[in-house]
This record gives sequence, C-alpha cells and structure tokens, in this order.
Amino acid sequence: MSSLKKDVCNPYFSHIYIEKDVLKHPVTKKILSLFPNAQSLVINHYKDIFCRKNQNFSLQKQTPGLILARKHDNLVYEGAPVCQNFGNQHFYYTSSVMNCIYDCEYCYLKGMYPSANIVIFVNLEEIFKEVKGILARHPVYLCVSYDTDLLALEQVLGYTKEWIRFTAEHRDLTIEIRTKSANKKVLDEVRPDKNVVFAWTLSPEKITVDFEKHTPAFEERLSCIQAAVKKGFQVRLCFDPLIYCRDWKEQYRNMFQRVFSCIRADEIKDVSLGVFRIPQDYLKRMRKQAPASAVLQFPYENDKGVYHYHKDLTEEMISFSYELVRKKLPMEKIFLWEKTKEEK
Amino acid sequence: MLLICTALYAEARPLIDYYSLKKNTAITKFQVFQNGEIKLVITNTGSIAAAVAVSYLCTLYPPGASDFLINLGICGSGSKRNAVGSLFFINKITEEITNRSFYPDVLFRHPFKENNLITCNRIIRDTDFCMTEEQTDFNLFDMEASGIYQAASYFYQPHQVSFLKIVSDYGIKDNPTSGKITGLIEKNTKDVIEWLHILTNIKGGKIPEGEIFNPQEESYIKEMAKQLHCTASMEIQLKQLLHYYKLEHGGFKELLDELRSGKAMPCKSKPEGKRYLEQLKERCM
Repeated sequence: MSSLKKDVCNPYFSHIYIEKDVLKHPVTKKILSLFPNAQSLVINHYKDIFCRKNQNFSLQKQTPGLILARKHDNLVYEGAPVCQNFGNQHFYYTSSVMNCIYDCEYCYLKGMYPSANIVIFVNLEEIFKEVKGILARHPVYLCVSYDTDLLALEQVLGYTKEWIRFTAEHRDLTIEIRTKSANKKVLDEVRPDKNVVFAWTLSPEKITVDFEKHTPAFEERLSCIQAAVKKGFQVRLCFDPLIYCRDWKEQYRNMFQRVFSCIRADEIKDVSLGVFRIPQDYLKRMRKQAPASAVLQFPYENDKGVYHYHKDLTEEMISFSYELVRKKLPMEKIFLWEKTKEEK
Repeated sequence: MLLICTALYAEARPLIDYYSLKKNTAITKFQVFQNGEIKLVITNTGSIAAAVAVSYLCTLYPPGASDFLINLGICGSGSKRNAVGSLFFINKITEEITNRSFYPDVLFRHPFKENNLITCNRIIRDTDFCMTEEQTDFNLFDMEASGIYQAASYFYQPHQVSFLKIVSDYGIKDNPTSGKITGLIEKNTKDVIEWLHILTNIKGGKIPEGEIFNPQEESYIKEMAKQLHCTASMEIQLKQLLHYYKLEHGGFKELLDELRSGKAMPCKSKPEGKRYLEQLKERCM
C-alpha cells in the first residue's frame, strides 16, 4: 500500500466516537481530556462505526479514529487453538481494546477486524467482574493484551496498571501482557509480581524495519526487556511469529546471539517459538488490502483452513531457532507452537 | 473521477462555471454536466431522488479506489450559532425517518468546521421547527444526504464520500430564490475548489485489483497455465507464486524462461505440470 503524506491525513484520534451509554464514564472523560482538539461524536453502538461495510483498513490505519464503548456479554474468551497456552489448563483471553497503534504488515488483526479504528471498552470493571466469576470455579491464565498492545497505549489508558492491581488482589489469576512496546515508565510504576508476565515479541531488526511499522526498534525493545528483568519482572520472550525472508537464518542467528548476550537464561520465565500462521479468511482479506506486501503474498500452504509456510520450511525455521535457543535455555523453558510440536 | 452531487441547478452553477462543465445530452434521466474527470449530477430534492441519481451515475461510471463523491448544497440550521453562509463538513448523517445514523470516514485533512446533519423527508419550516431536546445535537438539516450516503456506500468506501453543507436558513419562511442559493454557494466556492484540488490529488492508497500483473504478464501467465495443463486451483497457485516472485524480484519472465529451457512444452499431462509447479515453488523461495 502506498503511504500517504502525513499532511494529507488527519492526525491519530482526530475523531473520537463515543457510545451514548459511556458518555459519563470516568475512563471516557479521562481519554477525552487527553485529546481536547478531537472531534467528538455521539454514537449508539460501536459497531455503527466499526462494522460499516467496505471500509479501507489500510487508509484508516494511517489515521485511526478512537471509539469508546461498553463491552457487553462474552467479556472473556477461551483461548483459540492457534494460540500458545504455555501449558496452562485454564487459558483465556480478553479484549478490553480492539486494534493496535502499531502497524505490523503481517498482523492478523488486519484480517480479523473490518476497521482499523481503535475500540476501547471503558467498562474494565465489568471485565474484572467476569474474571472474578471464572476464578470462583478454577485458577485462570488470562492474556489481556492479545488483540491490541496495552503497554503501547498505557499513557492514554492505564489499563496495564489496572490489570496488575487486579491481579495482585486475586492470587489464582495469572496474566500475560503481550507487547512490542518499549515503555519503561510503567515498569517504574508497578511492583514485580510472579503472576504478571510481560511477554515481548521480538523480531530481527530487518523484520522490524521492513514489516513492523511504528513499533520500537529491536534495540529499544531489548533495552526495555533488560530493564524489566533487572527489576525482577516475569519476562517471556516471544519469537513468534518467525517471519521468512531470504536471509532469515543469518537474521535470526544474529538476533538470538544479541538477545542472549544481554539476557541470562535464569532471568527469563520462558520463550515461545512459532512460525507465521494465519486463518485462511484473514489472509484472503489481508492480501486484498495489501497486494504489494511480500510477507502476505508469500505462497503459504493451506492446512485445514490455516495458512503457514510449507512443512519443510516450517520445520527448518523451528528447528534452526530451537537449536539456537536450546543452547541458552533448558528445554522446559521453550514452548513451540503446538501444531509444529505435533508434527515434530 | 470526482462526482459532485447537488440537489438544485442553483447549487451547481458556480462549479459548472468554474470547471467549464458541459451538459451531457446523452443522459436524459438527470442533468449531468462533465469535463474530463469531473462529473456533476443534479439529483433534484429528496433523499430517494438523490439516491437514484447516485446509483444511476455510479452504474454508468463505476468509481475506482481513487475516486471521490462530494455532495454540496444548502441546509437549514437548528441553531442560530451557525451563521447563514457558513460551510460545514459533515461527519454524521442521521436519517430522521428511521433514526439511523451514517458516518463518512473523515481521514483526510480539510479546512472546514465539522458538524452533524439530519436528513428529513420534508421541508423544515420555521413554524414547524420541532426538534426535541434529544435532537438538539443535530445542528443542521437537509433533504438528501442520507439517501446519497446509502446509495454511495454500494459503490464507494466510507472515506470516498464527503458532504459539504452551507447554511441557508433557520427553517424556511419562503422558498429561497435561485439567486440567493447560488450566492451562498459562490461565497464558499474558492475554499471548496481548493480543497477539491487537494482531494483529487490524493491517491486512494490501494492498488486496484488486476494491476499486479501488466497485460503482457497476464497473457504470459495464461499461456503458461495452458501449457502446464493447470486446473483452476493450480492456476491460482501459479499466479500466487509469480505474484510473490515479482514483488521480491521485480519480474518473473526470466525465471520462467530459465525453468522452461530444456523442457518440452506444452507438458504432456497434468501430473507433469504439477511437478513443474513444484519446481517453480522451490525456485521461488
């Protein structure tokens, strides 16, 4: 997709759409106070904006609007099969925010959502209530930053801190905060907790530059991870998705060397490895939006409705990465994408 | 292509003059004026008439990803804070009769003040001004926008459709004269034209489907698929491979020529074609 000049597009969050029901919610008021120049529009339901037909995701991504809404029903979901559960039996995820401020070319959100506008569900207290209900039945492992990057939005939202506070009050709850952010500030403001896992997604610098637009550079992320381990936070490193490029071996070898030259095995909780994989419907939509994207136009193989690299390449990428990580970490700290594990 | 919709000729006149638009006499259902990439249709008043006009024009001239539709016209204002003659960029349209709202995507910068609008199916007179307390956030009202938006949404994406409304009254006492309407539009013509100039220079940000391969490449692929005895699904695979290869290397003719050298073409059978496709796949990585 050709990028438009910055002066042609409106700035991020130039338009804020607010559901009538949440006009008076404290989170709404807080967010509106941060964007005094935005155009605020009252709407009935977030889907009136988010689910309009035939939206241009790529263009919206260059100037996303903000939608403030109330989440109804299904506030917490059971984990999807394509997601890594890290050996947790009661694996759930929740989406207090839909969409992300980063613009990763391969991101599944581009195929999953009809719009690039960011939806913030302001009723976090109701999500907490539902989690409490599940906790009454059994312990919960909950991913709170799956369909977004909460840490990247922390300055606007403060949800990371809210989740950490909630987790501190419920010892059967473990949360994972998945991120590509390099927001060190939050790490100074919260206390390390064994039930809070910060999971950084890392890609080689070349992949970051080529395919992860607006994300912090590899070294910035690494520096943030170093700060986190130094403070004693639970840190997970997600080398997932592994992305193919012509010199992928060199790129990933260099990355693993760099990462493990800075971080000791005993400083991190675990590592996940997985190749790029995506449901067929999502990829179909994403390919249509980005015909010039090599990462999306790669001739993937369709395996029961999920596209991924062909078997040999998948195995080669996983084995290569696994061997390098295995030199630094014990086996039990390395999690592979389950489908691949079955194949191995 | 820029499609401009106005309800009345009086609203269109300043733009017809500026762009030197000429009447297309071949179209008889509506008055259409055009000059190159600019087309202007006079829809007549009312949202149904406007929707029909938009559908008609979009069927005659199907819009592409870089095209835009603009509705320019006068409107009433529920609030006297909005001075007569002031122009607003509409970010929300509510259809009075159904209470449904529509939201054009405001992705591009513009120099105008934004406002919302309610589309009524009748002329709002000053005597029947009956906005309820709940409706007070609807500052402006017209008779076409919701119809135009709904019809346009079959042909355009939400960011390609914009509504510019100029306040003419606070509920009509007497029907405004053509001269008054044209005067109100003329007052804003310079700003509108400057913005339209910027807008029409924006590329839609999307490569239209089918442009990945040039016509020569398309026919080369077709020929190749034929020689390989490709099934429909094999042809899709072949296209995807070559699409990826082209993105990575800029073209694929040399690759195919290289692979083809020393092989008897066309293939003798489908299995042979399949083997060839596998070789091609390995070579593409």
